[in-house]
Amino acid sequence: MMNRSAACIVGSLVAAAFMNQSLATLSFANGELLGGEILNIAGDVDYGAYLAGECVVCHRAGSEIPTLYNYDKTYFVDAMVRFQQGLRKNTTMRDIALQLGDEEIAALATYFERAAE
Amino acid sequence: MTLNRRTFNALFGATAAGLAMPSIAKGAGNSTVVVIGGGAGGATAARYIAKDAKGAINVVLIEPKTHFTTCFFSNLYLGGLRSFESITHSYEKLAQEYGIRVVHAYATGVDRDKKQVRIDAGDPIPYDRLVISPGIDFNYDTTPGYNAADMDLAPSAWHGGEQTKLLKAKLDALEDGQNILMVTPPNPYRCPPGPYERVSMMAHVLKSKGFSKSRIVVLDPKPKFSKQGLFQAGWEQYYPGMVEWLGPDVHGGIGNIDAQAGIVETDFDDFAGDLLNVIPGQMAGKIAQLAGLTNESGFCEIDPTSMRSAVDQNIFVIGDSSIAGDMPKSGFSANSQAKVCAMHVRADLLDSKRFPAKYRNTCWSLIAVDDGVKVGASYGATDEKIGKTSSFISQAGEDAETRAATYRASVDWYAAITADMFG
Ligand SMILES: Cc1cc2nc3c(=O)[nH]c(=O)nc-3n(C[C@H](O)[C@H](O)[C@H](O)COP(=O)(O)OP(=O)(O)OC[C@H]3O[C@@H](n4cnc5c(N)ncnc54)[C@H](O)[C@@H]3O)c2cc1C
Repeated sequence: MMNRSAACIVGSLVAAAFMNQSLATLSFANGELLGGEILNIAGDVDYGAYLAGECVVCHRAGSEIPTLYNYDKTYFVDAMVRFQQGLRKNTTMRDIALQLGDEEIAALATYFERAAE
Repeated sequence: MTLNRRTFNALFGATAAGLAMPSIAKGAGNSTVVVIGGGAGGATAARYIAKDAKGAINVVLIEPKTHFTTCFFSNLYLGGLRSFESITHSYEKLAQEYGIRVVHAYATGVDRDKKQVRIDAGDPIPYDRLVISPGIDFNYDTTPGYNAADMDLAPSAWHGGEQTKLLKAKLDALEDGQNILMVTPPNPYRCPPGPYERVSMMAHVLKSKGFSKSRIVVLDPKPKFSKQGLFQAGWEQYYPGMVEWLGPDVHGGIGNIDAQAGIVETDFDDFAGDLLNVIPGQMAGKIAQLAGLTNESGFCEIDPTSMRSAVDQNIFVIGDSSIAGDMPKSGFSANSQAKVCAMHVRADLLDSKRFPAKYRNTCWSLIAVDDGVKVGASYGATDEKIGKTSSFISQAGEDAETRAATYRASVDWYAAITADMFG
């Protein structure tokens, strides 16, 4: 069986890395927050709600995969751009991020910032 | 013209949820969507339509079972890593929290002219739009000598629930030196890596019990299979000498299957097993055929932009029963297709917005405890089909922490997708 405590520690570190506050630390450590130009796009919430269907099938406060509800828009955009640029390595997320255009990232960021589970 | 929210608002000038709105919105004037099958595709479609229509569409879900045991993670149950309860889900929340009318009955036919679904227990149910997600039925032509009557002796366990329990009981009853013989299905079938994850989990059980003499022989009608390199490397690493996979170039073709005797004839030789697991070839769930929605392949052609049936504008076919182009038949795929379908159903009935279809799949497989691998892809609609736009796969020789993280992610996915289906 999976070593529970080890998994929990790793899991919470990873989860924390996705959470808003800790992400701030992470991003500062890596330099500036990326994707400022995407933040200037007014995200279409309906489009975001539709696209979010693809995210929530995995993202739901887990040990490895964090929830995206009420997610800070700035950090959401930064994370997606980092996946696109290969600065963050998760192969699944990199593949997904590379499929998204700026409009779509803006729509998702706008949706998740407002949506509660 | 159907009365929908926009026309209703235009007629009565109600912009916000006006005084009369709530009582009328729930009333008989609403359009009705009937969903056949409460699995990965159907439960998701029903939930998304109900959730996003906010009471403006009546949703009826027809599903004979009161509880749904997923096939996904059923291999982990075989391996002793999940309980049966943890992979079994109720429809209560869909009924209580989403206002879906859950009818526990079996759909016996679709009268497409009258737009009604016939059921085995009760009056026909009328629909404005019908969503069909009945999963698969078996095509026994691929397994000579073996048919539905043999499922107790040699379970397929390719439908979740009792069959999975039966296979586990037979697996747990094996003694050292007794062998497992498995016949895997030809393409296309649900969950391409599923048979090989099953081999891994059965091997895990034999190894955990300290068995050194038992073997697992796999007779495969296909010359190659999903994630083959990753699985075969894993079998070498964790279960050396235990698993023997034989493709058609070795066995030459699968002949008669005698479930009673536990013997499978091939062009090369006869093979015997104390536990026989036979997974026949597959086709769309029977109701899709009865409704006249299948083509000569046994599956249903759809419009790749919407999952709408190619033969009936009022019907959508999702999940394993559909011909989904490059997408594999999986729970993840069915869930993804359900969301495209739900968007179009709402747009048909409520004039809500339509967006370009985006589809996604990831299939995780567990090779040994804490050693998970994954393969995934994104898809979009082309002129002819649902086409792959990008993909990725776990690499050979990844470090242990990467594999353990992949397994943890699959556990999170399971919790998330089942919540996405059942609320
Ligand atoms: C061993 C195994 C492992 C798997 N692992 C994974 C995995 O890890 N990840 C993954 O994504 N997928 C996995 N799958 C595949 C996945 O289970 C299917 O692809 C998925 O369930 C398909 O969804 P569906 O809605 O088409 O059918 P189902 O989920 O099978 O749902 C069909 C439902 O329709 C009902 N039904 C059928 N006919 C009628 C009728 N006439 N009237 C009313 N109701 C009806 C059935 O009772 C059933 O509940 C696995 C499959 C197997 C067998």
